Amino acid sequence: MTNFFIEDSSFRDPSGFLFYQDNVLYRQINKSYKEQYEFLIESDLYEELVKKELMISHEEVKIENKNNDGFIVIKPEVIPFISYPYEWSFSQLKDAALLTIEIQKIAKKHHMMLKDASSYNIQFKNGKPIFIDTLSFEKYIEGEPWKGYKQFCQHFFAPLALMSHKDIRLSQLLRIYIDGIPLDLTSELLPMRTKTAFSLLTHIHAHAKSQKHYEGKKIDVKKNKISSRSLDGVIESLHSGIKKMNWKPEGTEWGNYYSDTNYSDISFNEKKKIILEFLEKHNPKNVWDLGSNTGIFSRIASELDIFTVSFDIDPVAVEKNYRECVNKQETKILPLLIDLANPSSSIGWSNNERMSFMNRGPADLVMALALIHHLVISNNVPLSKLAKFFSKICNFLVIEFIPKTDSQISRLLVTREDIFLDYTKENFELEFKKFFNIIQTTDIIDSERTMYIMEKMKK
Amino acid sequence: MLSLEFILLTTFLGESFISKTFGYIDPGSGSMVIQMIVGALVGAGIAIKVYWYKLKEKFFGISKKND
Repeated sequence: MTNFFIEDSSFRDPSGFLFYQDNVLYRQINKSYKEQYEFLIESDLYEELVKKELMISHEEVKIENKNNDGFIVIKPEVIPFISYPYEWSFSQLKDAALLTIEIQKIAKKHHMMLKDASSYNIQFKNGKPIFIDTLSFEKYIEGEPWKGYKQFCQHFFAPLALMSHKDIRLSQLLRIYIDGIPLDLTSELLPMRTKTAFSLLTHIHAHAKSQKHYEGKKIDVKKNKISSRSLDGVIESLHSGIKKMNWKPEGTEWGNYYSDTNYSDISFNEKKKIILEFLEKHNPKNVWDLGSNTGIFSRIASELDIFTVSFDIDPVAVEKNYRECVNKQETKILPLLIDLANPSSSIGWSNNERMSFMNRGPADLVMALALIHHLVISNNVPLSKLAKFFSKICNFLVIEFIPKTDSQISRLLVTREDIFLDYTKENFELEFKKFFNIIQTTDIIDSERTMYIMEKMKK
Repeated sequence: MLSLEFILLTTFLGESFISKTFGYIDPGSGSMVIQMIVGALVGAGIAIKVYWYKLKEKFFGISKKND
């Protein structure tokens, strides 16, 4: 008996859909897309994009079509961890935007175009963005405008402009607006000075006005063609506009965390040693490092060739982490932005289009170093709830307990009453033992902290 | 100021349009118009640039390559 279900995120495009069969991901290409798909292959566009590692590869498989609309089934290359634009740092979103533009340029040389420009068509693999939607291409008809232009502006241009010219935290608007940030809202939020920059004036401000002016009106594209050269000009203008957008990662709470802690070199190195020894011994399939800051401890795992997702709440830390990945050409680490007090939820149609943080687990091993005191003290999460949470997201847990006497916690309690009477080492062990077997406990030399390695109890 | 410029540009393009676009996403009429405007402006910019280089070459004998 085969297990079959359709992936919830691929219902919009009638060209085909993704499905799982016996836990393997496939894509059915419908007859309506046959001509375009054959052109994608015959024009060598597919080959060029795959060769340059700009798009995922696929193989055509002999699996029965899932309905009468089917033309062929393909098996796409697997992405190790699905992430979303509202979880990316500034440079991750910028690199995804530049990739979309690059693909559009290459496609046009092969007489094809991107028929959409959704940021959800990009994922991260081997430290780089990669295009995942094989069905996004259509033949270029001379004189036609780029149909994905509006979507590109909403999915990439608007959030990047808001992040670089207004406030980095505005990337979170992408969590609310699944089809990108509305341009009229972007135009209102951006400072006046952005109207003096040609790309922002045209692609955001005038674009928003144009949308309002032509709302509900039809235009005749036959009568008002855009020449191939003008279209190249539009793409080039988007390209240079995106390239000019920058953001300097500085000025948040965690940016200088490691130079601002009371760790001594001895305890820091000991912590690293404990993690390294355990990882070498157990060789987990994957690691999630929660509260990873700039990824120092994540890299112990990724440098052992273990795929590691490095989560942090701070956009500065995630940005620095990603830039290090790019500079060192690291392939096994994926930095992402996450607020554990309010992690990404399932969003979109029927609450199923984009997966929640929890749905993308469990990880084989989770690291929670110098993390839980923030969740307990700053977010009032009881230890019992923390233990239950971790039991849902991992098999193995490397977790650090920091007592109240540590200066890091004293700092958190400066402005508030200490109502956390049950935040003790004894209670911590008691609550976690309800879900985990503690397999190793190490008091870290030169500190008051303790490292635990735990394994989830088998049911 | 922006509105005035915009109205001038859109008037230049005209609005007596009837749509015939395909695709599963709505490209948006306003978005298509702005593409035409940007395309025209960037195209004109490139033409001016090329013309400027030609002028420079003609009068001062400075070719683009020597810049």
